[in-house]
Amino acid sequence: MFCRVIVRDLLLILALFPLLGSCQKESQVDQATREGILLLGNSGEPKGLDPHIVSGVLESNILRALFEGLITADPLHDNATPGGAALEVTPDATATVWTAKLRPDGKWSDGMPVTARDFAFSYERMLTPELGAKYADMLYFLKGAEDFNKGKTKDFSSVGVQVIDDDTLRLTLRGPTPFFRQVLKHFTWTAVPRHVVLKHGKIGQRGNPWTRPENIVGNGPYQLKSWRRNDHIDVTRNPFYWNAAHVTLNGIRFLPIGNPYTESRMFRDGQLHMTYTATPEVIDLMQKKHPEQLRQEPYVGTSFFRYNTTRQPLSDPRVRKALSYAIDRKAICGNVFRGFTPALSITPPMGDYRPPQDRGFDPEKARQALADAGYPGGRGFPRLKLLIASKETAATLAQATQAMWRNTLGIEIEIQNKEWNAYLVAMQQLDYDIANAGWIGDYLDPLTFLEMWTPDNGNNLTGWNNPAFAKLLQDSFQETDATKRFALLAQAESLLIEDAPVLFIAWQSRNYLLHPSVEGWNPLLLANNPYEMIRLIPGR
Amino acid sequence: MEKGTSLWKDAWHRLAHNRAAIVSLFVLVFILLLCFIGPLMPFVKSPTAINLSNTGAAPSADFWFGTDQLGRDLFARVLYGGQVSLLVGLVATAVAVFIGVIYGAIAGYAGGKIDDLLMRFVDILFALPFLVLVILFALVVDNPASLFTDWIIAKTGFARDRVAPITTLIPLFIAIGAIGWLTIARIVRAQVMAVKKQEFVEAAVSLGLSRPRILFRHILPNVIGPIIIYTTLAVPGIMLLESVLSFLGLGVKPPNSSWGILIKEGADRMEVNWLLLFFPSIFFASTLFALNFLGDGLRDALDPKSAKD
Repeated sequence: MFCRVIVRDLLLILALFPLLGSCQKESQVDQATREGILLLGNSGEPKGLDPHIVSGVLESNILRALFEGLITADPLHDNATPGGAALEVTPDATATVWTAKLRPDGKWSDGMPVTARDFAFSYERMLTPELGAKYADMLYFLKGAEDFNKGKTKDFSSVGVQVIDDDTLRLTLRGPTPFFRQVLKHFTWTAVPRHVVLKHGKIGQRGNPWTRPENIVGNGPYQLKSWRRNDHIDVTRNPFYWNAAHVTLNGIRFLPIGNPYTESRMFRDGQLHMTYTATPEVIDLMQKKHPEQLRQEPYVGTSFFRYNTTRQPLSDPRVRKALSYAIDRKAICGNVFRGFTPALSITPPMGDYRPPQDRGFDPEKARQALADAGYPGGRGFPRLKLLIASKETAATLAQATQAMWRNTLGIEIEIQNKEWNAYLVAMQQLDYDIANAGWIGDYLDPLTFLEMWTPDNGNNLTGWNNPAFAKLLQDSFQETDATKRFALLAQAESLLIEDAPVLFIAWQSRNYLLHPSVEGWNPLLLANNPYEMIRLIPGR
Repeated sequence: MEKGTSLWKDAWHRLAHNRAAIVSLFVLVFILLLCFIGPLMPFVKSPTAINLSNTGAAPSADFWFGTDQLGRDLFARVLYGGQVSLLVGLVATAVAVFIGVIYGAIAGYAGGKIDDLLMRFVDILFALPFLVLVILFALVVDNPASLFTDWIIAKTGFARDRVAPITTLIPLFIAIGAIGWLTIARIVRAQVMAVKKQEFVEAAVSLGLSRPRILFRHILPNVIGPIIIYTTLAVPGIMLLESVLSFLGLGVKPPNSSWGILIKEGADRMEVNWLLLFFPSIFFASTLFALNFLGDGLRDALDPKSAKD
């Protein structure tokens, strides 16, 4: 009887299906387009909205709508540096002292004026050791910032930040930095509202509630409207934004969709204007069905593995090299990372910088190096673990490299799968053997890929400590000549390749799906597209 | 004069007349044989051998079910994955049911203070979140289990491919089994309490039978129906739980797989290559259907109150 009821119900549902399909209902994207709301897939729930605390790409996508730096990204050109909160930022003759002239009409979303004092306060807050800002090293461009952040001095006046008047800020850097305007585009250099932060807590207080939806105040084109955890974040027009009259979109909705396959299905079902990413299978599918909706663009990002150089036997550079030489990057880029480029250095091609090259795939050399290290044919090699975060593409990559190591070196590596936060903690505590990771450039200069490998940098996480490498970077900070500076950086990078604390896998490309109604979303190397000039054209 | 027959003989007789149950039994045996004996055949390929130049291939004489996103033979992966899913589903459920039935029967039959004590302990365990407990438990036994794997390989010389997928599951068996018995204990307790007041139990008591004998010979066979129904309902749940835990990094580790994981991977890619979803799903669904029909048949067959025919 039970069975029969089910069968009857199923038949009923099947019979109704065509009826359901025939109702012409406006898709969510069409409706949002009509209302001027951009629907973005954003891969996950943000850790927070405090620009001094967070460090991920997905958070930066939201912060770009809520906060505006002195310099902002240009919707078309990577090299352009239009003023944002500042009218202009001008260097002295050596590009060491920079003067920012703020907009006199700049306002926070609560109507208070944005002043130079807000910026000075923000940089002090970011560098205050008690705050524990993970990204504080982005501000090490400032003279004295590193000493202050590491607690060597308590006196913020020793840091190169000077308020001249309400609208004028002077930044003194550690050395000549001709590309400083590029750096200023990054969200770590945006200001937080001094009056709001201090109302809700102290300057160095972690977990200050000022970023809660009911408290947060920004100076960007949009302000936070609502935040429902694991559901969506809505931002809406900021009426006090200096250029509010020219903001085209009425709002943006960020959706934390973790599974890229689910995300692309939602896109094809008319629930998203744009996806965060597109997996190889989705690329194949879209190339066949809707090539015009598939975007594949260059990106400044690298996929790599970290080695824990403090652990046996990875403390031996020969072992690390053996593992690196055994990876066939071409095969990986053909399948797992469709459209990526095999990486032979940590720095992807960028401007005039020519990075030195690692050897790449060389099974003979790999076996030789492993034998030299005392494990001929992989005999006696301990079972190492490859740490990955629970994400779809990471597991595929890990299984491919696992097989390559087994086939080339005869060694068995175990895949250790951890939830994202547990994965981060394991990496920070050096509680891993080999870890899958990626790095997206913060600004357009090779330094953004190199500085992280200095011994006490918060993103090193390999235990690798080479004073010569740090020295070369220090020297580059004082070098005014661009060619000589790049030569120093290349020399440092060759040390990184020589010691091999990192296994380079691929230079990334940005693959995503974009709905035809979105106009003005242009390829940018850092994918830091400003939202305010995006147009949504109904009926496409 | 009618010749006396045992409960089990009656049951078998009734089961043999239930066509759905018998067909299910055959299907189940077939899948079990395929998954556990099949991989020993020389024509079944390695489930972990990667070939990046042959990814997502269509079914062919060489690859019966085609290949997956890393060029691995899907047929082999379905068979090996079946070992994992069937073992977890059947063994972990058996562990849970075994503990739960004994625990619940004792609590229900003893009654009074013992019952209170035993059931309050169950309540406490029920109050703790199931998934968190299983994760904690599996974490604790994870490392000993991988040492055990290495030990087995060293002792027996079997290939890691064949040993590891099964031995790394031991934490999962223990974890799910040790925590999954709570519901069944409650069900059995309630049933035993209802049955123990009936006349045939009083008769057994007045005959002077020992308490364990009354409990296990006379009461338990009368509550076998709910137990079997619960068991057949629990198996699919536990198989799904396995894929959840594996996704969180406990249980099956890549490159090894299970039906749950294969179905998840296949569902992700179904628009591109629906066969990746189709084949593991067919196996998974047939197993669950068969288990349900068989459970249904067994319940009818084992009910001592049902009429003789």
